[in-house]
Amino acid sequence: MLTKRSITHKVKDDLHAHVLEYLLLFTSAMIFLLFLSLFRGQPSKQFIATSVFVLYYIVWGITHHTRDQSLHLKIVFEYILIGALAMIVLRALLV
Amino acid sequence: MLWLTSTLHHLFIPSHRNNFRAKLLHLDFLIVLIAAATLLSFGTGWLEKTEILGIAQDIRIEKLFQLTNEARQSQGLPPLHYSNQLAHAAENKAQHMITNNYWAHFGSGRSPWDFILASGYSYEVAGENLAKGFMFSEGVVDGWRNSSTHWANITKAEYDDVGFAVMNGALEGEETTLVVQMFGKRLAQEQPVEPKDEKQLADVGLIKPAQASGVESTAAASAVQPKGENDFVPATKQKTADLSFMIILALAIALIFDLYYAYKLDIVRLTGKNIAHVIFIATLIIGLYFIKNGGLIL
Repeated sequence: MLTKRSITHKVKDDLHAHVLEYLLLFTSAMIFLLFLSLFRGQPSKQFIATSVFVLYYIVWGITHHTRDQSLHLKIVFEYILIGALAMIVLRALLV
Repeated sequence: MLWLTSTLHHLFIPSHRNNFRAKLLHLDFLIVLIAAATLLSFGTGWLEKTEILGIAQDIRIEKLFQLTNEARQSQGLPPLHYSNQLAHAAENKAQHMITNNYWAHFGSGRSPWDFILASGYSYEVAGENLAKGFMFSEGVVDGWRNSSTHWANITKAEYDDVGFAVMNGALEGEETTLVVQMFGKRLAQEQPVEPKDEKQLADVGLIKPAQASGVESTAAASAVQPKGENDFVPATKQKTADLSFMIILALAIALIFDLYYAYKLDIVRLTGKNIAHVIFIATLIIGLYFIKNGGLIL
């Protein structure tokens, strides 16, 4: 039987299918925020923490899509460009 | 109006017009955003170097003074008077911390009271708040407001006067901006005196705080500020922060709309995971808070 599933269910399905990977991303995001908090008032250290987090995010994206067997050059570029955009925007505040 | 609606739809909502992916998330549009952000980032730096000497943050003494008095008035307390002598003491304290590479109320054998007395201000009661690592005046005062010890200083009924200093320099190898706030109440019938000269200030360590019996303990918070030599011109940094926030926010909105409509319309596409992008962008938006507001010390 064909059933129409809600958007919430679809999101949950995606999260459940890759629970470990999303958990890793979420944990690293929390660790990044912890470091930003610890380095308050120290922009150069915050900049290093941001750079590491952005690099981690790009690697996470590539790894995730490799495991998902959906890796494509276009997707790699998407992660790199979003990461670069974030880096440049935050650089304006930190450097 | 129709044109605006159509453009926003094109930018944020996937449809056949944008190949079922919000235009803002297309690779070519992301490159345009990166170019705009780069211009913003480097352009601001150029403006700061050429028009506003070395200003990196926007912390202004007049704003700190106004916010401090607003905080006091919100508690039913009279506003403080601005004291050039306390400001002079604060400036020397900031310079002393930078020269001797420390960030504390007491350092290199000198107390805040030494600086206050050396400025010619004889006090009955005095106090000090410190701050570093903030970008804006509002952040500094909010930081103090959220710390009980700093707040106690700001809302102390006994104080009559206040003075501020905002100074840039390197502490422990980190370029930063210090904010020093000094409070005081003059000794009864004591007349204002002109600040002592530089030589006398240099000898401040020899002066004993004879009136120290009524001294209040200090409090410390921190705020970052412009890199000018006491040249507290409103910076372009606020605009940069606002534009940075708007770029990230626009990206986040596009991702959420794109995620919603992609699932709703069962669109199958070759793209990155929007959920991951949303987590990433949301983290950065929260991170902006820590970047804009420096840390506090007690």
